[in-house]
Amino acid sequence: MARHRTRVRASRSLRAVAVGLLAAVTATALFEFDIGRTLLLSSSMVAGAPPMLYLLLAFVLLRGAPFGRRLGWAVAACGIYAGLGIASGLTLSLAHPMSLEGALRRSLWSFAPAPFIHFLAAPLVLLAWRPRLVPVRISVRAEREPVMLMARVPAPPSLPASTPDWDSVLRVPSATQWMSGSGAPRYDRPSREHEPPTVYLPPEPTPPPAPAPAPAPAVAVAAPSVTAAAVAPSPMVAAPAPPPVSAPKPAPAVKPALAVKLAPVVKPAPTRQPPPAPPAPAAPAPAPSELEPVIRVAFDRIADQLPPDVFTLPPARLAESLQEPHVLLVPRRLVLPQLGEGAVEIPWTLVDSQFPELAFSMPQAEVRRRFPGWVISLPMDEVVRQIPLDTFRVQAPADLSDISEFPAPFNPGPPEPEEVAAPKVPAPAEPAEAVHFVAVVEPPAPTPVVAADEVELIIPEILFVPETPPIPAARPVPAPPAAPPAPVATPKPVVAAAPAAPTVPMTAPKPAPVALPPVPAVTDDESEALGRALALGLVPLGAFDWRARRVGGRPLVCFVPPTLTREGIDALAAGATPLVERLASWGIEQVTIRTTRLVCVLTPLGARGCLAAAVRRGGAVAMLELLSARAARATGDVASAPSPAIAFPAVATVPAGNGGSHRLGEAAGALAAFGPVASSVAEAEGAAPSVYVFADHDQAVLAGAARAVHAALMTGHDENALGRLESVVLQRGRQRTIVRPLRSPGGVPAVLAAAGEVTLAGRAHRAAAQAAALLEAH
Amino acid sequence: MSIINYAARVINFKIVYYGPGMAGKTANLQYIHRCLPGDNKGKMISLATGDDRTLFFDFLPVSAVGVRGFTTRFQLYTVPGQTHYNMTRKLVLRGVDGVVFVGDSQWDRLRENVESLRNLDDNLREYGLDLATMPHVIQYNKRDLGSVAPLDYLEYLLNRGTRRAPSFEAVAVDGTGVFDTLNTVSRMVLVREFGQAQEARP
Repeated sequence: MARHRTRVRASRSLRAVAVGLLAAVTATALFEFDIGRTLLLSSSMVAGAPPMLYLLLAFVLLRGAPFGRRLGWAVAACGIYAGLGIASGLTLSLAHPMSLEGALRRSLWSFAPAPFIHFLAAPLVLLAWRPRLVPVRISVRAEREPVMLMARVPAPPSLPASTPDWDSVLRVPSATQWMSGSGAPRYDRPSREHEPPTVYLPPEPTPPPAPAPAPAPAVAVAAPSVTAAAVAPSPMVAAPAPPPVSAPKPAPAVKPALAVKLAPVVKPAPTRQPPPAPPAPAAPAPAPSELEPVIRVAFDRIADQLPPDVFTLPPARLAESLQEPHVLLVPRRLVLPQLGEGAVEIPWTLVDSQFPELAFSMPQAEVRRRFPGWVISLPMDEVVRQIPLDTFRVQAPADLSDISEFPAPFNPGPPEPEEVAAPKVPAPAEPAEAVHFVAVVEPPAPTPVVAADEVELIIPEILFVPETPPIPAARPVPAPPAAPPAPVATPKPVVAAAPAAPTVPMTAPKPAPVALPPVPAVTDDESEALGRALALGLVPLGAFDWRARRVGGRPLVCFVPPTLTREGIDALAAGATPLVERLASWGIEQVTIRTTRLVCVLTPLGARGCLAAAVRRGGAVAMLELLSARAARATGDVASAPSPAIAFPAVATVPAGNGGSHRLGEAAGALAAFGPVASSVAEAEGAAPSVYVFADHDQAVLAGAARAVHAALMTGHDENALGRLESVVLQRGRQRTIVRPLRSPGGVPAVLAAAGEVTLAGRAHRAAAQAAALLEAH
Repeated sequence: MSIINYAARVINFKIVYYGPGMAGKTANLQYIHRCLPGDNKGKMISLATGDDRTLFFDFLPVSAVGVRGFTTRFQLYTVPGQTHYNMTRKLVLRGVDGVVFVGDSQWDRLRENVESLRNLDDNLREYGLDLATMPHVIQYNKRDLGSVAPLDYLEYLLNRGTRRAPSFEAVAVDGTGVFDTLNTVSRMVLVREFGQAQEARP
C-alpha cells in the first residue's frame, strides 16, 4: 500500500511537471519560430488579469467547496502561473542567445503568447492535485447530496495522540490477518504501544454549541404524552432514569492527512501533505452544516457488517484510520426519520468517505457495483442514547376515563407450581403455516338455552388442513351389558328404533334401542383425550363446548357452540349414534342432519366412537363437515372400518315406470344433480314410511336405509328444541344420499331418498328440496 | 365482538395477546393460569414446538365479574409470533374484543415489535377493525433484562398514536405487570360493552 501511495504521488507530480514543461517548451518554440513576437501586453494586465480570472475560475470549477478552498486554489494557480513564466524564461534563455533577464522579461509579459500559455497551463497543472483539493466523491455526490458529511466536521484543533502512523497503517495485511481482527499483534505499531487497545469510549455529554441549537427532529412526534398512564390501579411504571444523552459535539481529532483527503474544509498540514499551492488562508468559520449534530457509533459495533474483502486493513487499523478514530459519524438528520422503525440503517455511500481512500482494496465505484444497496445497521442503544429525550416524549394521556369504575376482574392468588400449569398437547414436528390447531375447551354451558337466535356466531372463512397430534391408542372398553330399557328421565327422549320389517337378513348387528342418558355425561380419560384431540380440528369454527360420554360402550364426543342448546343436540347425537355406526359398516363416512335451526354433523370414528358437532343453521356446514372428517381421520379408527356390507334390510320397491305417477318423473327430473336416476316407490308398511327412491342402482337397499334413518332420526324428533328436521345426508366419498321427510296430507309417513354421485353438494341439496316439494304438491 | 348467550346469561369476550415471537405472550397466559383460582379458569391449551415456540395458539378461558346479570367469561388467546404464521394470527384475531400487545423490551427486538404492531394493525383492518378504537393495552415485557430500551423510547416506538393505550412494564415469567395488563384490558372491554359500570360484582 505504501508503494501504491508513492506511485500515486509520483504520478501526480509527473503529470504536473509534464504540463509545466510542455507549456514552457511551447512558449519557447513559438518564440523561436517567430510566432507572435510582435504582440505586446502591458505589465499591469499581465499582473492583474490572472488573479481575477483564476479566482473566477475557482468558483466555477470548485462548486461545493468552501470559499477558503477556492481562494487557495486561485492563489495556487497564480503561483504556478508565475512559476511557469520563470520556467519559460529559463528555457528561452537556453534555447535562444539572449540574457536571462531578457528571456524572463519576454516570457512574463513582452512576448504575449507566453503569458497566455502560462495562464492556460496553470489550471492544468493544478488538475493533477484536484482529487486532493476536491475529492472525487464529493464532486460526484454533490448533486445527490448537497451537503457532505465530511464538510460538516469542523477542523481539529490539534493532532490527536491516537493519530495513526500512516507508514505502518498502510502496510498491506494478508487476508488471514484481516480475519484475525483487532487482536492481531502484527499491526500494533511500536510507537503506539502505550495506547490502550481498540476500546470505544462513548463521548461524554457536552452542552451543545450555543450558536447552533439542536435542530428540530425530522420525525413527527405524534402527539404528546404523559410520563405515566393515568390508569388506576395499575399505572404504567414510571420511566427509568433517562439514559445519558450526548449533545451535539464538534468532531474532535481529525487527522490532517485525512482532513485534506476527505474533508475539504480542513486546512491541510504542510508537513504531511505537500500543498500544491501556497498556503491557503486560515479556514473560515465553520459553515452551519459543519455544526450539524452527528451520532457517534463505535466502529467495533458495526465492524462485522463490513465485508472483509473490501478493505486492505484489519478492523483495528481501519478503526484507527477513520476520520474520527474508532467512531463512525452519522448525521442525526439521517437517523431521526428511522427512529420510529426500531432500527436505523445508513447506506454505505453516506459513510464511506470517512474511510481513508487508500484503505480500500478496490475503487469506490467497484465497491458500489459489488454491493448495491449496502446498508449498515446502527446499534440502537448507542443511537438512542445520543438523541435528546424530548424527541421521544409523547404527551397525550391514555384514554381510560371509565374503567376505574369497574372493579378489577381478576384477583390473582399465589401462583401454583409451574409444572402443573398449562398441559401441553405434544406436537410432533414443526408444521407448515396453518395446519395445526389447538382445542378450544370450555366448561359445559350451565343452563338450558331458550333463545339462541339472538346471538352471533363466529364463522371463519379460511379452510385449514388440521394435523392433530396422534392420541394414544384407544383402550378396549368393554361394552356395557345389554342396554336395559332405561327409564326415560328427560321429557322428550329420543329412542333409536330398529328398522322396521326387515325382509332380508342383515349382515350387520341389529342395534339395540338406546335410551338417552338424561344425566350429565359420564366421561373417562379416553373420552377426555379423544375430545381434546378432536377439538384440535374444530378450532377454526370458533368456540365450542364439548362433552364426551359413552353410548353403547363407545365414546360420543359432542361439540356444541355456546349459542345453541346443548341438551337437544346431545339427545339428537346420542340417538343417531347407533345409526351412524351401522351406516359406517355400510361405508358411510358422515351423516349430516339439517333442521330449520341447526346442522349436526356426525362422523363415525370406527372403534373409537363417534364425533358429533353442530353449528347454527346458516353456519359453515361444509367447513364443519370437512374439519370433522379430517379430525376423524386424524384421531379415529377409520382405517379399520369394516368392509362394506349390507347393513340394512332391502325393501321391495316398485319402479315408477310400472304404474308410477307422473310426479315421480318430475321429481326425478329435478334430481339431475345426482346424475341419471331411476325412480321407484316402497309403499308404507305399518309404521314404516313410504319411500320414494331415486337412484341408479340398489334401490331396495336404499329404501331400507331410508327407513332406518326415518326410524332413528325422524320418529320422535324434538322439533321444539331442534327445529323441524329437513334432511339427513349420508356421505360416502362423492356418493351422497339425501333422505328427506315428506309432508303427506293423509298423515302417512313418507320420505324421499335420492342417491348418486354429487359434485355440487349445495345444488344436490336444493334439488332434493325441489323434488320433495314436487312430491308434496301432489 | 362478544358472544352473548342470553339464555345462559353469559357473555364471552375474546382477548388476544399479540406480539413478536418470543416476547412472552404464552408466559403471560401461563402465569395467569397458575394464579387464578380453579373455579375461575378453564383448561389452558397450548401447542408448542420442542423449543416452546407457540405453534398455533394458546387458549385459556377464565371467568370474571358479573355485570348486569351476565356472567362474563374471557377467552384469552395468544398468537404465534413467527412472521410466517400470519394466517393463523389473522384467524385468531377474528371476533377479538381486546388486544394485549406484548412487546419485547430488548434493543435488538425493537424492529420486530414495530413489525408485529403493524401486522396487528393490518390484520385488524382486514376485519374492519381499527386498533385506535379497539380496547388494547401495551405491555413492555422482559424489563428485568439488562439490554432493554428506555420506556420513553418504547412508548415513542409503539404507542405514539393519536389515542395512546395504557402501557405496563412487565416481567411475565415472575408475574410482574401480568395481572395489571389483564385487568386493564378486561375493564376496557367491559366498558366498551356495557358503558359505565353498573351492577358489577366480583
